[in-house]
Amino acid sequence: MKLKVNTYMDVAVVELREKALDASNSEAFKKNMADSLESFQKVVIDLSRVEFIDSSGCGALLSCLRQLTDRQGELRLCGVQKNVARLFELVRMNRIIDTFATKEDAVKGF
Amino acid sequence: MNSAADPQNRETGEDAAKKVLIADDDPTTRKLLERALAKSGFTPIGVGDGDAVVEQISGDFCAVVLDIRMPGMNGLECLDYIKRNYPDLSPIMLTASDAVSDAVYAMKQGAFDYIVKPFHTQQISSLVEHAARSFEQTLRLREAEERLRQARQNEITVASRIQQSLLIGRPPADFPGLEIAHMTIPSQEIDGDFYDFIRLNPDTMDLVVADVMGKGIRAAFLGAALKSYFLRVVSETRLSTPGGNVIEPEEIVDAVYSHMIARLVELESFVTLFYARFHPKKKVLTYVDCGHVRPLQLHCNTGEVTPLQGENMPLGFPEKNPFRQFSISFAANDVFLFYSDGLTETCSPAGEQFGEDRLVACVKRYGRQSPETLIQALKSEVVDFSGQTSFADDFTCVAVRANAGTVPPELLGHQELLVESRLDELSRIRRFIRTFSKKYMRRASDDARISGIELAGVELATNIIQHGYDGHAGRPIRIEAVASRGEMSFAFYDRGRAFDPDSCPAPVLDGSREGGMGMYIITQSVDEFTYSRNPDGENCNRLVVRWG
Repeated sequence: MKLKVNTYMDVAVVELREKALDASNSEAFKKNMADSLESFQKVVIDLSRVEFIDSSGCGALLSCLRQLTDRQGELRLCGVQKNVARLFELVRMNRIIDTFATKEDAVKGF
Repeated sequence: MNSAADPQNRETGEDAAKKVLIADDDPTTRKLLERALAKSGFTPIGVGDGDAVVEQISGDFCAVVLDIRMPGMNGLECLDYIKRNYPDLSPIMLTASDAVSDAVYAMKQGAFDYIVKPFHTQQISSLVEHAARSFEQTLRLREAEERLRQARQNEITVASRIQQSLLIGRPPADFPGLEIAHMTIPSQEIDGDFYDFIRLNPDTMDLVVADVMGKGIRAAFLGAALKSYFLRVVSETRLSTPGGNVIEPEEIVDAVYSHMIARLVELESFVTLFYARFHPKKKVLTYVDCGHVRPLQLHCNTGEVTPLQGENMPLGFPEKNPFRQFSISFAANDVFLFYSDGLTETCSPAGEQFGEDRLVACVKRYGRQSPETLIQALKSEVVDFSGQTSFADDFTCVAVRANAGTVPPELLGHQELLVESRLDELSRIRRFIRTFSKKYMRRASDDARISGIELAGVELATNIIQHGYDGHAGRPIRIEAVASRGEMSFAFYDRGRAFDPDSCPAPVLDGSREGGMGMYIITQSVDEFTYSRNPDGENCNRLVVRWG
């Protein structure tokens, strides 16, 4: 599971350097996200390299969301590819997590 | 002089039944007998030796008098010849006083009686009259037997008509999504084969085929009783659950079993049956098998033929476990063939049985045409094989084409992938689905559909690995991809735990739950999803997308 974390002021931008987020790596993803989620209130997950997400990937993202909102933090997503966007629509993720086109847009809005 | 050679004598034989053949090498005795019998109203024909007897004897004679001692063929040899060729005719033997043992022997061989020379002509006349009367009675008895035989034959014809009309059901005239053809060739004897079609609700069609052990009126009546119990169980269900849940095939068979078992045991009979429920919308066939010959399924996409097998014993066997039903999925244009063992057990002149292998070959060859074509082709193959047009056993078959009405799709491609039950195989599964789909779905607008199958496939495989196999690695998952014009399907086969897609709760999509979305995603991402489990414990999950 490759994650690259960049910080912009008080915002952590986590770039997921994987082609897929599915049952094979969603647990690892949750574990690797723990640091950023504990240290930052504002987190952006950059999905621009991710071509495929399944329901366990969605579950992992929702888990991140819950951990942040529990601490009054905020989660944003950016770089969502077309196929992934379709799944988000299907399971209404687009209504639950704010999604931005680029990481700059996401960071700017906080 | 041989009076048989006298044409006068033949022409005067106005009453042929009264002709008596007299064989004696002594002309005096012969003349004496001829005169005496003529006086009693017979038409005597005298001959002087045994060879002449063989020459003259015919079915026209009502009595024969044979001297035992004659040149050439003697009387005993003549007797033997007559009994072999005209068994109803019993000659009277003439014997010298010192050869009574021959006469006794003759009686054992079927002579009517014997007279010891010298004799009184009146004695002969009355014995011949007696023999002639007995012969006539035998003839009348034969006629009566023949009439009785014809009456029985007639009865069988009637019974076989009853069988045709009572035991053999007619398919619903127009059941959406099913094309049905059926045929029965009754054997020379009637038996208890039956089939019927039952429509319990608008979405399903039930077919029951059964074979009662044994033949004749008893088997036919038992078949009729069994059929009436099926209809009774079905109609009672209709009344008790109007519009409610539909009774399952296994419950129907169980109810019929409870009604029938005492009678079957009492009559020392048993019944094999196959109860099938077609659900064309779900593309699922649910069935209960009780020892019947295995119906065949022709998979239209691959051309493969698989038998449908159950595990229950025939009804009437002492062992009884709860009846178990199985479900299998089918694709559009798959063909099912139900039949009785009369078909596979038909023998060639050399005594070889037609058998299941030949049947499978026939189904592969003709099944893709129409059910009617298949059945007609089967009939002519079996007739050719057996070299005859009538069968020892009833010959029934029913062919059903599922979701017919569409032109059989042209097979475009077919590919398989075998993976292990490990999550790191998911990327391989995804690649397989995407690569296969892209071969046939090439338009830019197809991309969303392809992503849909890819997603459904990963969800399905994850389910199988995590739940079906309980997370155990190294178990097999076989994926079979089939593309035909306008349709693509991916069937996932595994040997894990059974799974009930209907038991999955509706997903919660407000972000409060991280799981429970898989089944929802699957059903939303493809045009069709079916699950079935075959009797040897293999699960089949099938994803279908259509385009164009």
